[in-house]
Amino acid sequence: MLLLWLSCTPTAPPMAPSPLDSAWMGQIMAQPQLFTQTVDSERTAWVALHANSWRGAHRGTGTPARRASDLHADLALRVAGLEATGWERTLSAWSPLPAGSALPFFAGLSALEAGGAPTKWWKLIDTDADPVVLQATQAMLKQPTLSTRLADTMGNPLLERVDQHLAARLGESEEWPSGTAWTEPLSSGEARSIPDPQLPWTLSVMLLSTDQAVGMEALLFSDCLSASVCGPDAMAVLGVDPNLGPSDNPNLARSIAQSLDQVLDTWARDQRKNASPEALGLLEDLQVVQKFRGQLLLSLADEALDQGHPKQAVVLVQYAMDLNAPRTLGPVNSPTHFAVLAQAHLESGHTREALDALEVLTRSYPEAVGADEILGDLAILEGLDRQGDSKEN
Amino acid sequence: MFSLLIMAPLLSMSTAGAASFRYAEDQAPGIVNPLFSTTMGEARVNELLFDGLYSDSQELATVPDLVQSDELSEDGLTLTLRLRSDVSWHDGRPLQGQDVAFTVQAMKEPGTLSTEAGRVSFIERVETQGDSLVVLHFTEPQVRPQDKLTFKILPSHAFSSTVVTRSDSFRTRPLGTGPYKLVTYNDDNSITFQANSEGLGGKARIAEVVMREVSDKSYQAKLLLYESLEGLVRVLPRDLAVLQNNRKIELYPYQTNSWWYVGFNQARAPFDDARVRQAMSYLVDVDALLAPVGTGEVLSGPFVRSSPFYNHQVSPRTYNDTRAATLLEEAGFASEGGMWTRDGEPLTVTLSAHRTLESAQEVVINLQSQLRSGGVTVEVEFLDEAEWKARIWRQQDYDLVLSQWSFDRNEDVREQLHSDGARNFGSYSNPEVDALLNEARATRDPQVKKAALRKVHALASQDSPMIFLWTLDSYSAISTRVDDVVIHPFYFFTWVRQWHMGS
Repeated sequence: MLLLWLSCTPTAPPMAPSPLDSAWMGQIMAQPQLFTQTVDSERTAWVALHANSWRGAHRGTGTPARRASDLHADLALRVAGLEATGWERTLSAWSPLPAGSALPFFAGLSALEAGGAPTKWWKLIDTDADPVVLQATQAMLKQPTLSTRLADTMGNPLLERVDQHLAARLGESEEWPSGTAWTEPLSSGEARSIPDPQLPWTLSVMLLSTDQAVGMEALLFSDCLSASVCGPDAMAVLGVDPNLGPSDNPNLARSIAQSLDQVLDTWARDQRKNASPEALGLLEDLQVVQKFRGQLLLSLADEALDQGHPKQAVVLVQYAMDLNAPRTLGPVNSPTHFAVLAQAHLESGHTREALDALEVLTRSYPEAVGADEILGDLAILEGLDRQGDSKEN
Repeated sequence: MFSLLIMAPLLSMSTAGAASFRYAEDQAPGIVNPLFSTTMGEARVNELLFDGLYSDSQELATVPDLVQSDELSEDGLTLTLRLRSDVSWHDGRPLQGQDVAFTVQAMKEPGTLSTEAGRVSFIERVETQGDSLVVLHFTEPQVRPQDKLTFKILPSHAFSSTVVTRSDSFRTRPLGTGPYKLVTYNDDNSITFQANSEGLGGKARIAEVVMREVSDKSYQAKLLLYESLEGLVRVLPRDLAVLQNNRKIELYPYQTNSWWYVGFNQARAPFDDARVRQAMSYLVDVDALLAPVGTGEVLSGPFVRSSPFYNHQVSPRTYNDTRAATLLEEAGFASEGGMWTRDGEPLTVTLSAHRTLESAQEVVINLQSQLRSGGVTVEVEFLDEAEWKARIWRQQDYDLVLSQWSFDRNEDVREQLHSDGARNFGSYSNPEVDALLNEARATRDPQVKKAALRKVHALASQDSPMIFLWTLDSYSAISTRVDDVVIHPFYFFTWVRQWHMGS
């Protein structure tokens, strides 16, 4: 009887105000029609942006297309960083390097892109190398910079490729090279194909938009409460201390994630009690809370990586994931989740696990193939002297 | 309410206190002896009871466990080890060099028939000098032999000979140096382990670990939700979302390099004919088989899709009854009344599955139905652990098996696919695959290894020694009452010493 009475109560008790009420998710709940008006203008692109289908979204127009393009540019930069780490570690672990190989040329190029020292790699190019590689290496040793076009490519395909990237980045060309940069024979008779390590760097420049959105369009589906309060700062405003502590302590990361869950669970519970049916529909269909939660945790994972706490980053990304489809990109599991997870695993020494995350990216983002291949080589090198183990079940 | 009533006996039989970590296995280990371990459940128990000379750090670097110091000779042919002097067996006797020598010899001993013999094949002989000095002599120069010395060390004083049998009493009274001692086998098939106060790095922080046998995975999930367990080693994909939404449970990726397969006994007609194997693979709709199990990825060969060795040029085989019919006709079969026959005999096969393989029953029944629709009569048998080891591994007395392989991060399929592989109970043999697997082992160029194993993938897909099915989204679930949990991606309990029960 009491339950019956409660269910018939016309209005639920008033909610305590939350900073979430004035943020994009609160606006959706309070004014669902405003959300509908906002997304109706560029519906396809908004749907793609919500689904984290950035390649689909940035082919559209307007704010969602630009935001998707920016997100894709950021992803490309992360992938470029992973690939650069891969080149550095792989060639450092690879001993002896195959005679006459072009591998050190690309390691140097990758280091140069990442702001590192290319010369140590280029000096490893031996005289048995292909004349094209020798010539390209000599030229790059003379001009070890990527800020201006190359003075003379001498008809050398490797230098021409470098110059095409530079031309695109400087706005002098609308096209840039992709795919395999070099092929050479392996000792076993197969071919060694080397993906272009410059591709993600070029994409990170080319995809970046200059326009800045404002208002709800700028914040919708983001990790921000307002234009200036995003990520860990937003968590602090919500009453969750995002301080990751001085050491890489996964327990602290878990505790922060659990505190965030308490705040968001409470807010979601209140919404379910009080919101209009239309708003409730949006809350569930758009996975509003899960999406915001995932983005916040991802931002904190990024912060953990910046602080040199990869184990915390792994925990936070795992918390952020939607395990209904853990190896699929979707509204909660964005490409950035997988890039951050790959980096966190890599920094934790778990190279093989980084490949699990990267493989998801390679399906939709071909520029991640280079990172996947070079880190695959690193994983193999790390296990070269191990005796593999296998069991049933 | 019904499920609570069913659970009541299990809930009430808990003898563990707050300081216990209770985890579920589908089946209690068939044997507790690292010389004969073939299942992940056994490997997990080994991790509690035994130590290796070396182990993995949390960063997955090889670090000494039982070893104090080591020195590799300049020619890479000998490694001299000084063992730690502060390690004793669970019965109090000190660890000695002769224990290392015994373990290697027992693994190599042909009479032992150890499933782990391949792991010491690079060791020619072992010398001991005094109590704690061990010299390992290798068959060929080694660069980082420490990476290979992670197998578990056994106490020589617990055995009468280096010829060890599976029925040796050690299997029920195991003695190790590991973080836990086996205390009791309980009436409900659970096993209780107590922290070893003399263990490496001091006593483990959780006083007691209890392994519970619970064959139904969904039931395991319920026990975890009702706090009658603290850990599940593997969660079914379909239970993931429920467990993720429970704030008292945390999920950890685990055992991700695993794949399911249907294996053919190629020592037995008609499965010695690749056309028959290929035809049967064309009669299987793998996506439809996977759907009731949960989310996962269909595979085209013997690696998971994220492996550097996975050959993405090879597509998973899809249902094609026309192609199957052509292949079966080429192999001498004819269709009579919708069923395939040869020389008047119907194509009848027996499919064997492990009784506790997660979701095996659903898969087996659906597979049976699919093959029957394709004109193949399938009889089904579910084997318990002892029958499985005897019938499948030792006697090779089967037609088809449904099973799952799990690999560590090396993803070395040599034992499964090489004609002399210790886990090749299907008798697959292809000289080109053998040569490629040998090349993959020998090379120090990762791209040569990658190319060789991608070719192996393509050849295995073509030869179809197995129907490669899928890899599942694989997670462990641990109660938030347990703190500082870090799970080894393959062995699970490697870093259990630091786990502790929180508030």
